[in-house]
Amino acid sequence: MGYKMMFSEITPYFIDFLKGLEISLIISIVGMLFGSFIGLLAAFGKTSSVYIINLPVNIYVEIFRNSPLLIQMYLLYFGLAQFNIQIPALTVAIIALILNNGAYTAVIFQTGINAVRKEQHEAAYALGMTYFQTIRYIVLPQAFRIVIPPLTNQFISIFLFSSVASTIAVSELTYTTMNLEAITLRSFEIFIIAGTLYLIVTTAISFLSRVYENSFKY
Amino acid sequence: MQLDTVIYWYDWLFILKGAGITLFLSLNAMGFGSMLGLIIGVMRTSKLSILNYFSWIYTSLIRGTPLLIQLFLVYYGLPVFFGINISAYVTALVGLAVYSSAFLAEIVKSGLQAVDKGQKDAAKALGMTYLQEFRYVVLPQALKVILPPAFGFFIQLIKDSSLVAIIGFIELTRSGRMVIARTYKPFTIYFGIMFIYFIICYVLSIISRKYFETNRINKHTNLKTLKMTTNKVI
Repeated sequence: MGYKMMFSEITPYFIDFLKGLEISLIISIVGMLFGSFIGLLAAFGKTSSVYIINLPVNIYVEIFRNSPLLIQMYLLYFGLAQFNIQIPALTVAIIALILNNGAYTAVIFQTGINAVRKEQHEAAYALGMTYFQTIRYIVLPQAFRIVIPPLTNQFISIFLFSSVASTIAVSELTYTTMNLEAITLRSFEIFIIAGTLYLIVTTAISFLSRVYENSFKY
Repeated sequence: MQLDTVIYWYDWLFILKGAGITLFLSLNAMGFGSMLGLIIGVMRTSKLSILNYFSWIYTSLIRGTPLLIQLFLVYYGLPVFFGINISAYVTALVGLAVYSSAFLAEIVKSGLQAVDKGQKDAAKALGMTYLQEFRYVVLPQALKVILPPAFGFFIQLIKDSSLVAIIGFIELTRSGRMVIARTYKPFTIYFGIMFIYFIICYVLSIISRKYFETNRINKHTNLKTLKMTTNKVI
């Protein structure tokens, strides 16, 4: 075990780590926002009784839930190149994350929507509310509270899996890590710093989510 | 000179062999990960605060960092640290097993905490040692809570094992890339690979849904399950 840790070699590159972290965060946040939006629509599509809406949405959700994110990114980035369609790597990463996230959040939202009891729907119908009014005033507020813990987990998962985008050369944190490892050859210190940065963000997200959840309790 | 860009049937056979290796790797990693995860999960519920804190740090570290970073750490970091060369297979196995152990530890912990405290008190009243109580009373009941999410995690592990292609281990994703390097048909190959992953994971998730949802307590099995659980310790 003749390895001497020399963090002094890494400190000039710390700004690069932070730049990579910034891109990771941007990819994850954009992916989460748009993905949740698609997921919400897909959840309503899944709970719908109209077969024409139900079937394609189910196919989309099952396909993107049961295949790895890496393959989805490769398919969009390398696969479309077979047809001479070249999409820049950052865009591909964001699109793949949005589609993947959409499928997972669809299931999360579906669980939340189904958790609101049927009596609420019947009561709203008795009061003369339309379907959209029921969704907006009755279902969504109650589903929102149920849905927040799994959504936080999903966001953490997206943030951690944004590292996969490094395989298609998006300069986010993991890609920067690999580059710096090739430059400085100090693999242990580099990975410790990268891991610590990921850990800090993950812990911060869980902590903030718990604080937000506790603000609902009275 | 003509470039040979046709995908032959034996290319698909090569890719299917990669699928078999993926499943083999995932099963092995799950096996080792379950054993380690069981130990760490039990440590998590321990009253000794050293064990508790150690396992809490362990699971937080591994669950809070990306799998890719962990795989790289094992592949590039460990040989430098220990001075020995590790093959890609061992790296993949160790990395995935450690990753699974952290997630499974959380699942095991929630399973153990789901067992009614009265069972443990009754076991103590009957004079069982801690090991006997764990093996005959707590574990069977905890397993009912642990198995559904653990199986779900196994499905997720099969998908996450695609990442070991990055460190050069030849499994499903990597074998696809090798065929693409010769045939220049990435869309067809990656679509086929996605289809294979989809079939494997979809079938497993259907099995999981059918098996674990028919075992859920409903009105008819309530009495029967009650009798089964109370026969353990009366």
